[in-house]
Amino acid sequence: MTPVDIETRLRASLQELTSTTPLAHPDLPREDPSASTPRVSQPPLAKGFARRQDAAHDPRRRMRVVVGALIVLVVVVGLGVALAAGPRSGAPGGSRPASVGAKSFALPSDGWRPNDSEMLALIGGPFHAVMTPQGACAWLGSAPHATYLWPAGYRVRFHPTELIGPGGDVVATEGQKISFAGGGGPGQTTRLSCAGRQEQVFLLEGLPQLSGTP
Amino acid sequence: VDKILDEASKPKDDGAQSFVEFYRTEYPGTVRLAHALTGSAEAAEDLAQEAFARIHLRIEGLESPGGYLRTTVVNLCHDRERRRRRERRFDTAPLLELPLSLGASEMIDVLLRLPYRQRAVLVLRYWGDWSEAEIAEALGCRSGTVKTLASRGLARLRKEITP
Repeated sequence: MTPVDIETRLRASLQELTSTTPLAHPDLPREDPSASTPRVSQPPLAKGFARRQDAAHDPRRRMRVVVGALIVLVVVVGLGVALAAGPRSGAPGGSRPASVGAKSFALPSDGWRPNDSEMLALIGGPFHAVMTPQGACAWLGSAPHATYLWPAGYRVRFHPTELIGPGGDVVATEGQKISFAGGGGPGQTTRLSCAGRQEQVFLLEGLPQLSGTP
Repeated sequence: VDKILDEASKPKDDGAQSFVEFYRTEYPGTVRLAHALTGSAEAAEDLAQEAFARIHLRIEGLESPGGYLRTTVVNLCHDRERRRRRERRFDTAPLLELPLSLGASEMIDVLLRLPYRQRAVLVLRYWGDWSEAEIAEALGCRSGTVKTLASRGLARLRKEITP
């Protein structure tokens, strides 16, 4: 893709996004919907910056930054020492146990469990997950074009992003290609949905199959 | 802001009236700017209101209220981003709330995953048509840094967007 292409597409996408901006304040004059998005006028230098830059030279602020940096340094060194001295168990390859104490989040599920009947279409792609205001949201592929309902007990953890199986093992990491049996169809899942086509639901069933590393 | 506008509309002094006019003129661009920077229409309205509330008491003394307002929005959006990261431990940007075409949706999705300063540079440059010097002033960095941020942001977009 040429630089011009990406810049043009970026401009068009931002215009499209801001054309959906709600401007419903009652004190505002009605806008002509056919008019193009007005250009945001360029900001002359604002006085606020001078104050903000002065703040950067404030000795108290500088002291806070130094103290903060020292705390971070101590924490990093402490973690390094703890990791170096920690147990070095775990066999290479296969799934590994999730680290103890890291918070994980339940994924939306249709309650499928092993030995339940399962749909046999194959759904696969790189694993991704984010947190949304409704909870954790994970999908396979480049973008969440549907809501994914996971087998029972699946969770996700962040930093690093990992898919945790019902047994507590790390099933996949961010970007790792993985596939499940399952199927798709329409549904009413606004509450659970990721972005994208909210009416589309993918049900993931069966056991995960890893098909590559990120 | 509603309360401020109510109060401003009662006495007919010039200062209050000038704020009302200023609000009416600047609100659409301000909320759109916040929307482009955050990807959230709901948050954009809140941030725009917050920016107007902050500027209300000092508008008389400002040489350029419009510039101050927009800079305030850029900084408020950055504050929101940092707050959300702390509170939710997000490692990615918020998801889109409004239906867009597939191309725009993909582009905005990647844009929202960029680090805030890269995203802000791209939004201010390609949507707001700000100059490098103005962006540098708003982000508190040098023009060279703006160029670097823009270049890195575009490279990431180019890499992740399907041709």
